Amino acid sequence: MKDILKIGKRSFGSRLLLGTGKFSDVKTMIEAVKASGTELVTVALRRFNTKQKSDDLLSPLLKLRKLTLMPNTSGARTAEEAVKVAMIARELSGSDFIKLEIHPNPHHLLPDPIETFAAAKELVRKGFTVLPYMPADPVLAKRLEDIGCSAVMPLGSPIGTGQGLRTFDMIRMIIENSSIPVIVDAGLRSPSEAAAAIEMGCDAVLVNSAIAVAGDPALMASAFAAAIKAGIMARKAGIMGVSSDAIASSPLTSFLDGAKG
Amino acid sequence: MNINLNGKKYKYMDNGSVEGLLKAIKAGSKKVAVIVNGSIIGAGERKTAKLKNNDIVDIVTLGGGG
Repeated sequence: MKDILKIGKRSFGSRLLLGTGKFSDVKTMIEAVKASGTELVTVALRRFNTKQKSDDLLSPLLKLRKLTLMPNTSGARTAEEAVKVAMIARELSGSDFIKLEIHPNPHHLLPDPIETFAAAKELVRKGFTVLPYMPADPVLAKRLEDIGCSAVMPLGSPIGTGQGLRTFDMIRMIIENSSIPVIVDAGLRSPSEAAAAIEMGCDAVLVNSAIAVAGDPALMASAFAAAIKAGIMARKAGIMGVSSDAIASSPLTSFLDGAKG
Repeated sequence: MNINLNGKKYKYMDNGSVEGLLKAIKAGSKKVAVIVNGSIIGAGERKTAKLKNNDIVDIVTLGGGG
């Protein structure tokens, strides 16, 4: 049976969400998107550049089959700004999916929980499918679910740092208390971390930097896709529990007792 | 007329419509959103929506982002 990720009213055949920023050029980004098998990519609003015709990313993305664009609200510093950005983004993308991200401090880019909650409430009211990028806070996650967000996206570690799943224990708590998809976003550096996130119960991961700045982005995208598949297979297979005592794998027979050398 | 276009001064010599401005900057066929003085001008309004001197205009599109 095909593995399906359900977010809001939509279904996706991949649990790898891909960010489209930081790639060296559009061609490399498109190759990575294809290699990843993703069906949901994030994009950002930017001013139309009259002078640079070759950086059109939208046209090649729109040609890909089964791909949903999810604009983010990056750049917004307040709930009011995020709602404004989302309205513009919906006009452009034709999609009601929005990655809500409000990170006013450019040094750590950590999401503002108060502005995020306020914006999420307003965006849900306006009919958006809201996926909020948030601190790995189990209390906030439940509040965001309760007001109608379609998923929560707790950070693994700050954007672009490659510090991995530093919030592992908090994410585990979020998973245990969540009825909506939990998607780890930000900070993942290697495919093994994506596998670990899936194995612990995350529904999907969003990766950008780790793929975009890899030596071979398309190959790295394939690696992440394979790791996520491995994580799902492991969950279905049943991962062994953890024991504080050693349990032998081989029989400890005493036939060597009394043996003479 | 003089407007502020994407953060810079711009001398707009056409008929004053939003649609005319998009053609002038070669964005007519592109997937863009138009914001004039903070309000979104929908695609259906661009032909009739007129710009005034000192209007603040942002033409935005979608690009790469995480």
